[in-house]
Amino acid sequence: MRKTCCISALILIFVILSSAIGFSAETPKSKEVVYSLNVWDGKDYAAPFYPSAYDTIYVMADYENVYSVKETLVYYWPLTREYMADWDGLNKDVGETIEVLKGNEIIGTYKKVDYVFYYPKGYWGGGTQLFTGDKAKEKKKEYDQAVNKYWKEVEAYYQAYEKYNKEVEEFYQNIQEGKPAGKIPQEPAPPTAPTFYVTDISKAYVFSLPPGQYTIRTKDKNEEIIPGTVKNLIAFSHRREGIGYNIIPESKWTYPEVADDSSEIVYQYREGTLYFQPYKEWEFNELYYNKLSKPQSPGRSDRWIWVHMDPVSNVKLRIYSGDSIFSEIRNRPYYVEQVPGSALGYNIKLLDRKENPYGMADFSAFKFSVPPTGDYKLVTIDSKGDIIENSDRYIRPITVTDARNIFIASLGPLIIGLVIYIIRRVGR
Amino acid sequence: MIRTENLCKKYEKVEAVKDLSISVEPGEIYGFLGPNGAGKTTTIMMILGILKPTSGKILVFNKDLYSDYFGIKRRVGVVSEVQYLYEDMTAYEYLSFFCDIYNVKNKKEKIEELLHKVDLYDRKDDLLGHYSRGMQQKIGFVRALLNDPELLILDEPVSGLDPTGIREVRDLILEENQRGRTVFMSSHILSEVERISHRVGIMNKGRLVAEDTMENLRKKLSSEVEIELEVDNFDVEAEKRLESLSFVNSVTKEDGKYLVRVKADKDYRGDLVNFVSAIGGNLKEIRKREMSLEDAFITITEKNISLFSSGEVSE
Amino acid sequence: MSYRWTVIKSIMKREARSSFFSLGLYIAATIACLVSAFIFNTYINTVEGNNIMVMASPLNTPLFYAVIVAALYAAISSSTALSREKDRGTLEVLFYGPVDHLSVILAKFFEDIISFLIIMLLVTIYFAYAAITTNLGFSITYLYAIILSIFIASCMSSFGLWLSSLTARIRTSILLLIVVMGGLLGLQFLQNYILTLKPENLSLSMVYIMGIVSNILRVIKWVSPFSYLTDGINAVALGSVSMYIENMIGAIIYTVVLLTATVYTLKWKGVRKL
Repeated sequence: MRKTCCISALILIFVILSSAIGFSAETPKSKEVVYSLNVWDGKDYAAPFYPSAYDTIYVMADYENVYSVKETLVYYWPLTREYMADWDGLNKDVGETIEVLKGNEIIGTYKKVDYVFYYPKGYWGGGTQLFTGDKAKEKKKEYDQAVNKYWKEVEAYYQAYEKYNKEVEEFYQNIQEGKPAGKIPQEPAPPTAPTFYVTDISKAYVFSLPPGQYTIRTKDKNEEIIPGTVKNLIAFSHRREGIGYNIIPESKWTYPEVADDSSEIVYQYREGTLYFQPYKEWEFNELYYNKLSKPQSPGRSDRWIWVHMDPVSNVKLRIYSGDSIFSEIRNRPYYVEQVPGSALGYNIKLLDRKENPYGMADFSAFKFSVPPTGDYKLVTIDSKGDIIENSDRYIRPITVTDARNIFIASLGPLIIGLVIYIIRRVGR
Repeated sequence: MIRTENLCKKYEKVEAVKDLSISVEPGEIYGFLGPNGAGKTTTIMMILGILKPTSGKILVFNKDLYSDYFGIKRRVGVVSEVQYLYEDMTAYEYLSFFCDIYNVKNKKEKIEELLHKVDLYDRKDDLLGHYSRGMQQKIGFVRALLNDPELLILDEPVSGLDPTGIREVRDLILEENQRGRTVFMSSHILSEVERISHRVGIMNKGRLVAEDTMENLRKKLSSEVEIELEVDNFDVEAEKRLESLSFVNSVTKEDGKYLVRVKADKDYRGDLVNFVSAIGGNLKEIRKREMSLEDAFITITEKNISLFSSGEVSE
Repeated sequence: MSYRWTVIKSIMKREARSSFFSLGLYIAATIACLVSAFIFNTYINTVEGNNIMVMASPLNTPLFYAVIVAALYAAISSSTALSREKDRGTLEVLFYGPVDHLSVILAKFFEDIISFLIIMLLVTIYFAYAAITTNLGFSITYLYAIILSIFIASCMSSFGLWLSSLTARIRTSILLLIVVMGGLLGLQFLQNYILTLKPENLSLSMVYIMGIVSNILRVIKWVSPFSYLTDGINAVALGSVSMYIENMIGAIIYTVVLLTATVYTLKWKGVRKL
């Protein structure tokens, strides 16, 4: 028995030590052929890369995505538990063609094309668009022209400013000397930089696929498949479209809640005001969507998630009480006014452009003051007056009873049991 | 009613029942005798299908039990030595439950009739946990009779009962037998079996060492007969002459009487009377001493196993 | 079969009666309600604190815990069902009559499900009170969850019955249940932990060991009734119809296999009081 214990303890120590050694060992960089992608995630382009450890690529169907095949140095980064590429160490384009197969049948062969990303509101502004071929060149040219024009305007501005400085100097000198100074010189306006941005023209494989499961592989100029480039490819689409809501409670405006699914009920404490911000949303398979932007992300293939897209415009919210329309609400700008004095607090106020033309809104939303009783249903109505699918949410005021009642009632079964038990025993 | 052929039950190291062949005929009370551990209960459990025989054949109502399991079981009533009852149920609920299992029609009337019979009607709503051992035994009997069984299997039915309880149970068995039920009763209390059984099977160490009617069994078991003689004018010399007679095995003196053991091949009482008168003795009494089943049981199981196991007695 | 059904009904009725008149069932229901009460209280505190709470089916979380309690009661009750009767000798007496192994086991199984349903009925009455007084409301998923919970209970019950058939003493049964359930739960936690580990983090030897453990766990997943419980609750939470049906079918197969095993184990071990 003692011998068994000793052996067991030794095995345990060995296992712990071996795992500890495993954790502490530095993972070396290895040269690998990887797929580096720019994939549309419904809102923007994400940039995952697929080393040999991941055998399936996830992309959104019916959208053009960018595929690059690179030789690079891959290493595992234990802190974030993900694979990284040392692009600075090695970044070599490989391959001549990409082939996509459905089963054993090749359904697409793709060559590298020129492409750019167009950012209409600047690099961080979202709404990224992909252009390929001549359009990419046009966009790049448009951007270059805009930048050149801007630099010329900047040059002209500096010259005008230099001239302005001189005029200002002359103006003050004339005043000091008692000479007629004339009109005050007008300061030149600085030029506005281009608000959009276009990336440099690059070459990659750009194509879209209908929903389905495929095999992807890359061939070199000798038509040979490059080792490590054969992977599964899943092109997926959204299951449903709907409206999701950010809900700002008046009492805690910095802690908004989210109601993404029609099954979700908005519980409200007594009477209070809620501000709804509707968003367009798409429902994706959780596993696919998570893997799309980060191949190492976990997810469940049987779970579906709503992904917020852009806020919707030209809509109104309709509140139903039972089957009858209770009210219709429009989107309004609001600002938060801090309450001065010792009583800390704030008020959310409607921003009236007539009264306050220069005021800044903190947010815009659809305001609904929930009555203390009754259940309500909220839907979003589009510009044609139709209810948008999957936009309905129920709003219920919650009745906060004395919590003790909830606990006391939970003893009900025991009381029933005791009564039955006593009747049975006493009866005999 | 019951027939077993070469029935065997082996456990890992023990052979509980060996080559058991018995036959219980319709309408009889069959006493299944044997000391504790002889294999009686094992046999009953095999008949009821609760234990699986290692080999051999069992026929109940001339059928294999599993050819009509539910049908056969519905025609049998069983009372065991200890009544394992649901102590959280009242007598009525318990019996009603078994009526449901046996699918008994008019169960209320049936239960009440049987409870009246065993004088437990007034206690029908008491929890069985509050019943005495004797009352529990009676409830066991009532349960066994609920389905009007053609065959009653009783495993040590009077064990642990007081004399009154024993008498009541005995009367009940006889009554049920008179009503046409076949009774197969195991017991180690010989006097009880002797009193009511038509036929007896005796088990020892897993083997059936004897099976016959009471009368035949007694006859077969007795190789000698004891005769009591009360004689005057009988001296030592006369005693020696008596002992030297060819049919006399031995002579002993007990309380002034002579106990003469003679051969059992014929009735030697006449020869003894002649002998006493020939030597001038004054014969006051001559009496043949009967062998009880208990004597027979002891004889069989303790003394003459080798004799019977060779098949000289067992038929 | 028709006569066997009469027998099953009779035994089931007796067992149900016995459960109905004993306190165990009501204690289990009370524990289930009490656990739920804590969750309802958390809801109230959340809404009071944040003024808003968004939730799809607020009754599903307390129901999940209530089902765990009720299913555990089913497992405990069934794990002693046969051994208790064997221990007291009443099982042997049943077999004197027209009762066979299958009818006893099916009767015990159905009675367990009835007891489970009584607990869930009491829980539902309590939930109705809580839902009405707080205005949390019922959703259709509650019904789905209740329906699925019957299959989960059937897994737990058949598992308990099988354990019960292995033993002849109540104490041994309970001990066996605790050891086996504890072991299975422990393994399920281990499985969840292993799922969080990345092979890349581990040394080769550790990866090898993990591989073996993972394979064992994959098999155990089919044996443990808890996996059906968690999968079932997940199916309801995810609203996955395929997972829901898959879970139901899995639970039925599991139950049939376990009940068959129980019949054979009982035949092998015997019904006599030791």
